[in-house]
Amino acid sequence: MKLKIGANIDVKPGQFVMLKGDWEEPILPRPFSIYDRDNISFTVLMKIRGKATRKLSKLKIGGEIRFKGPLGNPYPEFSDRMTYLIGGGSGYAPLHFYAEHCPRKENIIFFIGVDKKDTREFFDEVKGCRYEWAVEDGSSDYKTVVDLIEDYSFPPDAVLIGCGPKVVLQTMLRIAEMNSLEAYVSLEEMMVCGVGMCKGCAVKVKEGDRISIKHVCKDGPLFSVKEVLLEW
Amino acid sequence: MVDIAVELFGLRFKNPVVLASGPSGNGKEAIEVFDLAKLGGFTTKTVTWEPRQGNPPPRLVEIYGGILNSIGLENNGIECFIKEELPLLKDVDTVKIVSVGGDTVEEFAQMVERLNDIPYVDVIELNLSCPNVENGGISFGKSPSMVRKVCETCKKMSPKKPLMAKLSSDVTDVVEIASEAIKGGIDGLTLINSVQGMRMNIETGRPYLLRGVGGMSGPCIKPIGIWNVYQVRRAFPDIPIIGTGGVMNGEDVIEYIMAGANVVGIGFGAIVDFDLPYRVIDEVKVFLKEHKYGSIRDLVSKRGDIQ
Repeated sequence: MKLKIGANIDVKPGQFVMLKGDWEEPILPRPFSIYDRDNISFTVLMKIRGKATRKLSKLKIGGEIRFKGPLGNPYPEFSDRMTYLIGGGSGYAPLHFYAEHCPRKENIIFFIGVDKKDTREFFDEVKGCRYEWAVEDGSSDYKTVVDLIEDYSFPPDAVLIGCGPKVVLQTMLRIAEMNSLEAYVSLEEMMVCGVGMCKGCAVKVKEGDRISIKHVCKDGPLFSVKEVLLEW
Repeated sequence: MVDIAVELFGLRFKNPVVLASGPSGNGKEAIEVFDLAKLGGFTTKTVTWEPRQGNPPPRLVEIYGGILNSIGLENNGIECFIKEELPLLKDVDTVKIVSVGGDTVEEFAQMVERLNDIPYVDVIELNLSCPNVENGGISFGKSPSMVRKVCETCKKMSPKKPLMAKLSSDVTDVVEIASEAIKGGIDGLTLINSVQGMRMNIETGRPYLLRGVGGMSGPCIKPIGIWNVYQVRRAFPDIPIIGTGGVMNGEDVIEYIMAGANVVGIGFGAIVDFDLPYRVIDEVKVFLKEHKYGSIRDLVSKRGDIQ
């Protein structure tokens, strides 16, 4: 579902907020990437997964919400390159926001996976961008994004940006490595502070031959496939 | 106008609220998201001699009433801390407490010695929940004799700075542990560290955290913190105590003071909501005013004899 929050925040594509309603439990606010914004509001995509998202889904119009943000770093711009935005589910949110702000929409191709045809209609397409949908219910040429990208020949100067299930990101990593493509993945880790203090959302990265620790909230959420180590 | 300042070790805490060690990092981010000068004090995340990467993720899992963490003391090591992180706090008008941890007694002592040279470090806090690699990996804080040894050795290295020992509640008798720390010459005690706990992932059949056990924080542990502070205060009427564990509002601060704490730490609560510490301080003032206390001292006098 789409959650629209009435607040004017200077948020850029790729950034996220942490949301919570006026309740005691669950205590932790939840992170959501921004899907869209205007001068008086911003929108996130939300899938009902557990207690917090269920409570968020029951908020009435005019209900109070607390949030932290914008958090994280904006995605870099690649307006003059062929840019493939790859993902699924609520991973579509930052990719949608990114494409909306891209000056050259003709350079953007979306590869998006959803569970069924209805979900596909729920995700607004950005005008001027090309779309390839992978739908699990078989109503499209491909069932999964993994199948789609494994079958595809990316041009050598393409940029790939991925946000979605881990299996999609792992596939992207493999394809990018094999074909020496420039690619970035948006990572998710359980987080509390959202600004790099608590060290909860750690990821391992390689810088040259050194292995170091970065954090999804402060250093990401986007990481180059050249540096990120998806398994510890 | 209520007076909520507290004096400990000759240091003035402008109010009884400090940020506890861990959740708010070493200051680099905290100076951006908090107005530290409004708080009584700031405790850094535990620093170790050598840099540590910390544990592989997942490092966090939610529990009812809080969080379970297994961060693993990720930090850049003491030299980087002193060169790059600590100076950011130099001119901040708040009591600065540096938390140190080590694998060995020697490591603790080395760091205490090193920090004694830094003029703007106000207090050093020993994180005794660290595993002692010279004693089968059992945490220092679980062994009365090791607590005595660490405190004694570190106190010798700390002529210029008051030394606190942070105690764990995961022990048979916290009073015995406190007693050994005091015999070792410690100037004050911080109670409690996070509480051991675990969550199982019922889909995978394995613990959620990669290292299995983690430390619980949040309102779910407050009764454990209160009980431990109460016991230690009952046994030691005069030892300075920073009480911490599950503080989310002003009433929780009052509760810790009533249990025997002089100053109260907020860890988890402050990073869930960055506005929380100031709200808490205001709520403390309101409580004192409504109950017609002129100061924290009056509140402490109201505290029944802890028996």
